[in-house]
Amino acid sequence: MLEEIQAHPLTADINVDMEEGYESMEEMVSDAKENGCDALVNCTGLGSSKLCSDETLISGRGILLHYERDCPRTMIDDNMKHDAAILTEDGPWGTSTNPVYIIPRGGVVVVGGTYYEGKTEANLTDDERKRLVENASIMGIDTTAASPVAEWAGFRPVRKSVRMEIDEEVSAKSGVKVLNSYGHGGSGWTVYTGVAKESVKMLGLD
Amino acid sequence: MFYFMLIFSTYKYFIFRTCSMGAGGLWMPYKCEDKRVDKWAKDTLDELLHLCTLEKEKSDSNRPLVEIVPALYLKNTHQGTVVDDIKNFGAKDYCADKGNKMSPLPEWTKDSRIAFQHLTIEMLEWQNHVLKLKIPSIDVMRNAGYNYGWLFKPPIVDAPNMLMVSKGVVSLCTNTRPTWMEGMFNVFLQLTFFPTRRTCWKKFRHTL
Repeated sequence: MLEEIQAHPLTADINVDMEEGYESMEEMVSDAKENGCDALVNCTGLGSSKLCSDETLISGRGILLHYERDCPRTMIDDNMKHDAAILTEDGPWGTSTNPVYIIPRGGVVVVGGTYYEGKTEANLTDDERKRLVENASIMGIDTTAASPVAEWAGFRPVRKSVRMEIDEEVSAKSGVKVLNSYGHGGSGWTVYTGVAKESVKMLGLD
Repeated sequence: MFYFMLIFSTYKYFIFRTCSMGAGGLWMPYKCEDKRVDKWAKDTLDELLHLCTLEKEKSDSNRPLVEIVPALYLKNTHQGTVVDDIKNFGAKDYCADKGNKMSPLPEWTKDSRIAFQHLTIEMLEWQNHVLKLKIPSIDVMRNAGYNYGWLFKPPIVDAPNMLMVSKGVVSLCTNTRPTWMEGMFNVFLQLTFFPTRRTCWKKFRHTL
């Protein structure tokens, strides 16, 4: 069953070819300058650990299985009609590094997860898959009748505090206003608009 | 004329995919010690709730990009506000950081739009007779040691499809005339976590 799990069908469409990526901040700024840009916003997530030589930025590895949104459920009364997200970091089901959660979104139910700081394994191990299936079962998915349709390993850009600042030194040297915005951890979808507005403000464009 | 440039996940040797696509997409500040996050999260909540409204107005049958889904965060112990705290409820610093003993609840829980409740498992059981949420039975949760829960109504983003839409916005912007410039900066910046190629902005610049 688990061997049949595929990456999310949209992966190929959303992920873009990285061949043209930059090797350093200098190269990035130089390119910006060459093309007549006034400002550059660095939102490279975990990539900033290298681009900015920022050792305080580390990965927070997370893993997921996806089930169909309308997959069979157990422990659910027939009258229970409405989807809910369920999360816990408390035992016995979860821990702070192995949180258990189920989140219905779009056409799938997302089952997680992990929060392993510093880990960079790009694929799920068999043990991890088994544990996620157990999580799915705990959270009410009938894993004897439903199989995961996709799996995912992602890397939250974890930093003690978010780096959201103008790089004055690089900006002064290059003439391109450089704003670093990274280290938002697992809160990307929670803060993305606020961070965008803050960026506009910091660049003096509001 | 103002030219700008955004660089996303384009570090050359960075092989990982953006984590924003696989993310659960649940609006909830998580493991964030930075105080600035409260403001950013609130601004984003404004946007997501606005998108929810727009989604409801759509007549097509596609799943919404953003939807409100009740969320239950299970807890072993109380870790919430107690009766003695009530007298401080109206204080401006009621929900301060962890150093403030007035409330152990995070700032975001105060936003009335997410209808946050701190419940015992028995209260949750009672409420679920009405709410009819697909959650494990109360006995199962209680026997596992979960005696309390946070129940709230956050927006949840359909992450991959939202990224697809964002990608479409980028494509649209890069193929239109300079008259689009005025509002474009905001559009681009809101794609903070969206990976793109530098060819994208190069293409954009060529339209200027």
